[in-house]
Amino acid sequence: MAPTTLEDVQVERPADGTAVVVFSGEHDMATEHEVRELLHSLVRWDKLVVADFSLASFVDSSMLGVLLDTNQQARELGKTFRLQLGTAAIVHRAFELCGVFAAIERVTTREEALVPGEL
Amino acid sequence: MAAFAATLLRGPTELREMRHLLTSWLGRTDATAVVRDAVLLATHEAAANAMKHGQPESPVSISASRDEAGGFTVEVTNLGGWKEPDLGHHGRGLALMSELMSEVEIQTKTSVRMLSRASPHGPTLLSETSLEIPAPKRMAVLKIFEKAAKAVSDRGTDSPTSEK
Repeated sequence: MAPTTLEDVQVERPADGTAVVVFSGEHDMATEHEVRELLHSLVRWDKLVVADFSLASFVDSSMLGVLLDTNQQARELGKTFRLQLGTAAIVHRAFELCGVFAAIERVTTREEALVPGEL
Repeated sequence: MAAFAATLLRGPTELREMRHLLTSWLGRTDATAVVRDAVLLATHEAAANAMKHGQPESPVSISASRDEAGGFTVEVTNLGGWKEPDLGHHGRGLALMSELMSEVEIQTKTSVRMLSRASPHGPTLLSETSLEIPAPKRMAVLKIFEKAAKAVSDRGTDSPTSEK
């Protein structure tokens, strides 16, 4: 299998100790390992990490597993991990059916996403 | 309309390309967006599972068809056999398929489940039939049935796309 890249993943730094990871396009097991490494690294070093899926058009269960694991790691480290979602129905449905909404804080705007501490 | 068929190897973009082709095929049906999304995501999960747990060099074949009553049948086959799902991530994919589709059945070796219908527009009836299929041509089969009843019930919540 050829090496994969994270061309549809961008990390923004809106404030010190805050990372926003913007996912666009489609995300499946092809980039699962790279995304897991990225998110876990950010959670170790930042206080607030936002995974922004507003521009994503597809996610699968492997990516949802990465997000649930990242959320667990954030909780253990006393960090905050949030999801920002857009309007793609298939993405929303995948998150919902995998129980992601029950486990991870969900917001719809960047302003909400960057509020410090628990919402 | 003609059935959908695809064969995937182990490349990192194979699943994505299959999704695009399947999206195009589903778009030519009159199914609602809700049903199209369900079939797309469930088929992806089945194919991803087959790629993860099948033999490394074995291709994964996917077929999808739409019956007269408006239901979908998807079949994903690999030559490597299925690994029993864990309760963790791998089980999540199967759980997702089960939530999205009316019927999901994993078969191994030489047994498949057949779908029969009482009438083109009536309730769907399922019957069990065992078929002897020579191994290794079909050692593992995952069949997903999207019942017509579900497709019909979802109509009215979305604008159907005209069949081309």
